[in-house]
Amino acid sequence: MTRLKLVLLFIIIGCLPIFPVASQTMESLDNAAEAYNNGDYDNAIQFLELTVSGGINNGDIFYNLGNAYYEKGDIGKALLNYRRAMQLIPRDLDLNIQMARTRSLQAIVQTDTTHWLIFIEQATETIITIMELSIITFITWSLFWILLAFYRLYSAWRGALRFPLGLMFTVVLTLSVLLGARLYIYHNMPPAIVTIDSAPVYSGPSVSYFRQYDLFSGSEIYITDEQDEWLKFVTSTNQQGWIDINNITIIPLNKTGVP
Amino acid sequence: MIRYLVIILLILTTPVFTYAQENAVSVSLSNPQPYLGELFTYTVSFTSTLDITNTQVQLPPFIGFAQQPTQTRLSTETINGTSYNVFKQEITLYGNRDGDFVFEPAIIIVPDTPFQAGITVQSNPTTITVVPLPADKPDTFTNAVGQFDISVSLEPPIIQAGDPNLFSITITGSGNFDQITSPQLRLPDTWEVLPRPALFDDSSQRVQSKTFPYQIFPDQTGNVTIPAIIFTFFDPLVASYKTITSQDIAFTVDGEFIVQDQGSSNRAGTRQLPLKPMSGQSSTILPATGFWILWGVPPLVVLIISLVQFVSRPRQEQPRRTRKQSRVLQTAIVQLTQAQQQSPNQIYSIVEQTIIQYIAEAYRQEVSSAKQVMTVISDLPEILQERTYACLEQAQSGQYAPVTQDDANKLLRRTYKTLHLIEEERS
Repeated sequence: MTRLKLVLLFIIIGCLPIFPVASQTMESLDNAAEAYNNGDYDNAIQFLELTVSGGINNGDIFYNLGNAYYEKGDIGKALLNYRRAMQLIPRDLDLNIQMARTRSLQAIVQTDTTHWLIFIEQATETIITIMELSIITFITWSLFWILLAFYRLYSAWRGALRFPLGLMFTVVLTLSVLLGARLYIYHNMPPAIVTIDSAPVYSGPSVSYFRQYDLFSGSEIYITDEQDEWLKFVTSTNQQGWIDINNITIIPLNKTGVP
Repeated sequence: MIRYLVIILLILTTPVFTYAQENAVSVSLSNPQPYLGELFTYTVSFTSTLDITNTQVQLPPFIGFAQQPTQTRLSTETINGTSYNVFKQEITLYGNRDGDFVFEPAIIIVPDTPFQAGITVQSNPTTITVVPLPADKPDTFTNAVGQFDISVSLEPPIIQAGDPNLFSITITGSGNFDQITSPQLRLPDTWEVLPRPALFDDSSQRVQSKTFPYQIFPDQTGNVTIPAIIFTFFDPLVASYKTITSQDIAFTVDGEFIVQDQGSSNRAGTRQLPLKPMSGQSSTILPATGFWILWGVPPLVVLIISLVQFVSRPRQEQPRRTRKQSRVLQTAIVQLTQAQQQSPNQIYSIVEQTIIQYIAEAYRQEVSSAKQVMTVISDLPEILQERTYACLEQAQSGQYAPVTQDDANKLLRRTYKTLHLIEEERS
């Protein structure tokens, strides 16, 4: 029994995010805030990027970094950092307003999303984080199995348990689809933002192919394939093409938040 | 004899007249030597006497070409007095690369129906040469090949200082709209210009349009003019580049820009966004690996419970099955077994006595009739009481009736089973 408790303790500890806050980090953040308030956005960005590259994954920091880029006029990188912040604080009102404002400047039309996976991702990203969704899905998953155990053990309760069991199965299935879609997108179709003023899109993975159209700074795309320095992408409206890897930044989904 | 020969000949020739079909598939190009980016039509025609309502077409992959929505038509034509069904599919294409290309054959599949056998036919391969555009491309050329016109618009005509307005360049006409990029804007460098995604309108088959909207933030007040937009396209009809220009657009910027000292924004006339307090605490986006392992625990627990239940169930039931028969039951079984040697009427008599004797000894009570038996076994389930009563009733009535050996054996088996059930129930 003691051994089992130890194993469980290790698993729980493994799931907990424990990162000590270094004094150097706080100093860097203070400097960034001071530079930002003085209108020195380049320095503010430098301090914030330094903090982020040090492995700090904080929604407020990403939001502030987005603001600094926004004030500097770099819409692409502003949107990139707002999207990073969205992974951690999706229900933050300021963030949602600022994202909508930045997107309206770019008029990234979200209404006619035709790719169903991207539709799920966009519909849930402002409501719940992947972490929260994972935990809720796990809880319902566990409840489903507990109900199933009772159903098997106590034949007298079967009639009463049939409906809750069916309901729980539906909830688990729905949540699993949402979680699966979010995880699939981030692992197999990672979102990316165009971070230069104008990025040419070609019909194939080199400049020898026909230049189809241009994507502008802040355009949101999803990477589906890679060939050398070229990335194949799809947009929420199912538009496809190849783009130079240097013209975009992939929104990372690792622990450090470093691209 | 001749009559039979004529009938046979008629029978043999009838299917030929009924099912004779003429199927022809052809492919044509509206222009076998288009310029790079020039629209042309690839048409597949299939003529047949069959019903071709559900015709399926497998088109070649058109590698190196961009494809626009296709049009399919079904019609009927009469050729030399014969009515033919005609299937036509038109695909609008334009070349992405110059050079010689071969389109693989188009394959037409008419599926089987209860009324006709299906067929599969294919066209010949088609060759096409995409001609490169002339080398003397003007700087203002933005990939447009076809016939176009340009117009510009601005909304609203009067704005307040710091507010943006929407400037749109619209290209209308016929050509490779997918490839056209925005014409160059000639605005002061100090203006903030935010390009918005192009809007493509292909609701009309003949004339399409593409609009390039821009959100512009002028940094001056008063009457402002946006210079004319220059747009160059290649017209394949005259095989040369054409340049057209829009008109100038004037608008008014009212008010004054807010001048800010420290903390001002780079965005003209707007207030700086406030920062959020930063704690430096980090959190994870994805759960750790250990979390995913936990998902296996609930089904594993249920599996273990099910296994335990499965293993323990036979252990509980086994003693009931292997429990030793009571001495009373053993005596009854011996009596019933020995009764098999007797005549049918005697068997019925032995059955009645055996049941009464078994109940008397099992319940340790004085029992001498079927009625008393039923009183004694009133604690048993109703179905078992009915079963016992049926055995007794049959045994009594069979003693004086003409019965067969088979009937008697059936009663023996039934009684044997009933006594076992009573024993099980009592234990």
